[in-house]
Amino acid sequence: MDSSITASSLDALTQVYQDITQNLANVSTVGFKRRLNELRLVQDGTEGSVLGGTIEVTSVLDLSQGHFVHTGRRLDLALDGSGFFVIETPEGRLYTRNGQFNLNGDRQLVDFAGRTVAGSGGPIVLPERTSLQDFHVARDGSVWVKGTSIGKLQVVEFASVSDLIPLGNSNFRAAADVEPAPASRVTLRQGFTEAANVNIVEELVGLIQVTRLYEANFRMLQTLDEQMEQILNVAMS
Amino acid sequence: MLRAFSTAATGMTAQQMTVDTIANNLANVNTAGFKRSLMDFQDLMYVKIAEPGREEAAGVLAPNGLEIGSGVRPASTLKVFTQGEMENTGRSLDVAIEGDGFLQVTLPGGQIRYTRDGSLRINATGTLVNASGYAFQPTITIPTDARSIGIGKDGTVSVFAGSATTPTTVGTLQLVRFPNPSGLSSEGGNLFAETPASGAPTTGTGGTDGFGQIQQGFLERSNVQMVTELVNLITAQRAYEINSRAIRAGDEMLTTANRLIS
Repeated sequence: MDSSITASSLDALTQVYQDITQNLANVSTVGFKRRLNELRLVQDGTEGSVLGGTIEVTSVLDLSQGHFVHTGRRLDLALDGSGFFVIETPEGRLYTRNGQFNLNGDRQLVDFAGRTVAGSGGPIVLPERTSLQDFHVARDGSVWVKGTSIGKLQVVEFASVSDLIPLGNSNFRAAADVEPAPASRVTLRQGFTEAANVNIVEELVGLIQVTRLYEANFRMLQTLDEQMEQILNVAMS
Repeated sequence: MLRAFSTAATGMTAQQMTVDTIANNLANVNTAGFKRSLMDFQDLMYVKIAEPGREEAAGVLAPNGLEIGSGVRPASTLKVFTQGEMENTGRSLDVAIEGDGFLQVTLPGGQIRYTRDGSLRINATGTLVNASGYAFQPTITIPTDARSIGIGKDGTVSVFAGSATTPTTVGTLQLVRFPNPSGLSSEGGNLFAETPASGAPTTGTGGTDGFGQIQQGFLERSNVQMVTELVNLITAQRAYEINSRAIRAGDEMLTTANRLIS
């Protein structure tokens, strides 16, 4: 272990710490997906050297299912399985797992910011003279009012987690040149929201680990410093 | 490190707001026609350090990017308009709406407000008013010699006046509905006001076109579920704690770093 590994691993640990705080801050965010961290030693390529190198951290979105929370709101929809709701915005389509929707003044299904939730045949509009109590979303995403189908919610899935770029506000956008496919293994649950998939205990363990590793690395740096001082003392005396 | 501190701080603020909302829900557990609120949170913007799919070598794309989130923000409070429990009060001037709809009252300034609290009163001039004295729309006047008052499922108000043996209709309680009731603004005093988000009200008669039925002798209780709120309260408290714990961990890391320098 030399000082460059120690310094870079300190940077990496700081980053892991930041991701953990981000996960914890969003423990109540509907549809939030946590980040997992992976530390990796990158060799600098010098022949025979095992010491030189830097530690890199890669953080990966963990798309595992969050648990379901019953709210009883007819416009709360949760996705069970892999998939995303599609939100139409002037800047293009966004994807989200947050299914806490609303109706706007034109009785259209919209997200928290008033942007249209995409249906396979255009936006979902609740017909006049019907009430929210009549609004039923079947498990396949088809929307029914008093026994009449008024459309189907579009749910899509991505081939790889790296096709998704988080934008905040529970929204993702697709990476360049990626076109999601209709989701095949997903069911919808009405009256539920999907909780964040953050596990407090796991994050707490991570937090303790990071703190202790950080301490250990600093101690290593301190030892290296003292050794260097001793060598210098011998050389100079 | 400092960024992580503010990230954890946004988490604490968010939980504080949840506790505020729960406290208000619990305080109104006995308020007729009260609708509970939910907090809706969203993650904040991500700081992009490296884009996923960047070219690391000719033809080799990095499978993962590096983005660091900056916390959480409260996006909105959602009013949950589920039906509250119906309580039989036996009072002839109590009405509950079973299903969709609001009653309308006029403020002294002439503006219209909407309520699900159907605890009616008669004021000095015989007009039907709510607990604050605001007249219901359309105005209904009860004759001074009325012996008993009947309110039908469609909102028709009829009285037996004087020595009459047949009831006389004196007016109808009209219901209104909004495309997006969650978008109504809460005004206190069990009243809601129209906003651009709620859409324009449509008027109708109880029991028709999807409007709820009016039940005389009942009051709609608050839809707050004590146990649900308490469970949410504990969750919020623990989430607050864990976020403060994250700040403490960062503080420990900085202490370690400081020890080296000294």
